[in-house]
Amino acid sequence: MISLIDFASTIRELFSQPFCSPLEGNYLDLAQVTDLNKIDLEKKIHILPEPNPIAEATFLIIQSMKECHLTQTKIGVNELLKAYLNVINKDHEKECSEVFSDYLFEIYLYSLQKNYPYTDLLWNYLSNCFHVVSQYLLESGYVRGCEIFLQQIAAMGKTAAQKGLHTSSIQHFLHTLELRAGELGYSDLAAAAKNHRFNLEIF
Amino acid sequence: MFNNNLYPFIVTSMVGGLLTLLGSVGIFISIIIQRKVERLQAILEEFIDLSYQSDLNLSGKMFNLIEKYQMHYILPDNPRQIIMGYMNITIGMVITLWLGLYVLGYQSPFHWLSIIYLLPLIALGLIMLWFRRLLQYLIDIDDTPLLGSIIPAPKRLRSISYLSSFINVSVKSVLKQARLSLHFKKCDIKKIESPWMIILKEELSFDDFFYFLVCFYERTPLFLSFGEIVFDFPCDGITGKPSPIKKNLNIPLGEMQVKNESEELTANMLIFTKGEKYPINYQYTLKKGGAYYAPSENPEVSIDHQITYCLEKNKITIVKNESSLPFIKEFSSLFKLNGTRLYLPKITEGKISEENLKTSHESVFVD
Repeated sequence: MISLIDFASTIRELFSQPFCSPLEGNYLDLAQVTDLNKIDLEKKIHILPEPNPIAEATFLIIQSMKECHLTQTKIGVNELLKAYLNVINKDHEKECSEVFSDYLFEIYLYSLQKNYPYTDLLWNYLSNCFHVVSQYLLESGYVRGCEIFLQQIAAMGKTAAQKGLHTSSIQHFLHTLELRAGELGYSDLAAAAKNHRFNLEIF
Repeated sequence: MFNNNLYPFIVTSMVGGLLTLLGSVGIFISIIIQRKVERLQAILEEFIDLSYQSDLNLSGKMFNLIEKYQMHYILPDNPRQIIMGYMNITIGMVITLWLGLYVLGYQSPFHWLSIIYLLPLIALGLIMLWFRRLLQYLIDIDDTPLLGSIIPAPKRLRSISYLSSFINVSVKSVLKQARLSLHFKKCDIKKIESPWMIILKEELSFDDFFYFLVCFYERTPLFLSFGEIVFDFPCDGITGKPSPIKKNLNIPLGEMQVKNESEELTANMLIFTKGEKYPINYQYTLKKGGAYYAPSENPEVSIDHQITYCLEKNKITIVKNESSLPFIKEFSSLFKLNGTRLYLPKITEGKISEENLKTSHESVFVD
């Protein structure tokens, strides 16, 4: 088992690499291709995928969850979110938010496993992080990014509610965010937040 | 022509037939009601079992259960009318036929004593009407007292007082699912001097309790409000469906006028319910953000053993008060369960009077 410091520094190292969307690069991903005939298969088939530090970091975090090392998991999630806030900019706001929130969702899904003992604790931690992150996104004007992030939070919240986890903090922060977004003039975001809040526990 | 001796027997057998049919309708109804009662009690039991698990998030499940209960509770309107119509006609026919038999058997001259012969008819008529009433009670369970004690109306399931006094559930865990939270909003965002609207939010509309709320800045009280929270949800205007419970409810408690707007406020709320003797204490810390105050974290909820109360004639009497919360003693004579919410918009130092109390007339809304 590696120490917390080593874990944190490994993760941080991974995140210090520049962000590139998994969709970029020349690697041939069959799921993304519509017509194979238009592509030079011979040439493309040997290309290796681009390095994906976020996926690797996510794997490390999930590894820590397998060992039931909650502190490591928390540090990992924290670093992941910090990296997200560090990387996001106006140019690739959408892709960045999608990628990071997808990986966050993966971590969350693993935590729902029956043999994971800290589902509640990790969920509470995640809920606390969401509040700060989305508030930062909103205040910095990343409206599109915030919307994508909220969508993923709402999806997590919905599953959490079905599993009997408490969603009061999510509900409450969605309301605060709605008020703040309304004040800042982002009426679409406010409406989206309200909609997520109303649908959180409908199943 | 019919045989005059035989005809009364034909009519008698007709009456017998009609009464048999009426009896079987009674059995038919009671079978339906029995199944219904069983179903409703199963749901009720599931609901009560839920309220013991306070560490889980059950508001979604509770909402669904109450909706399900409502669905099984009422009989559809149309069959109800058909059954009532059938009973009316049968009873009418039977009474008419009986009268006819009297006419057939009547022999003049008229004698006052013959009125005694009419008495059985009157008694039977009354009994038939009672029978009709009984079946009507069974069919219209929503507004009759017969089954109310066995299966409560769906709106009773949202009543904290009902749950706590008739069914032994933990008020604290039920209220936890209601997620009471406070929000302060500026009435008019553009005006700096605009008063703050105090809103009590409930994620699940549990009602029928008395609250007492004081907001503080550091230790100085800024706002006071108390009253009873009772909802009355009419059927949905568009779909016509009854709504025994709602989500995301906002209850305007009053308006607060403050001169200096601080970054952080605290608030204490006591919840008094029937069937308990210690109130539940909610402690909120509210942070300012733009034109609103919202709780920064989940409230601290505890049972306040420093205050003991009892209920007498729809009025809360404070038996013992060792709490440090202000104004309980001054206003306790006004703690009446009459569905009104009173508030003090401004608390000038050391001076409070009942004349300054205002009533919050604004209605509850979903947001």
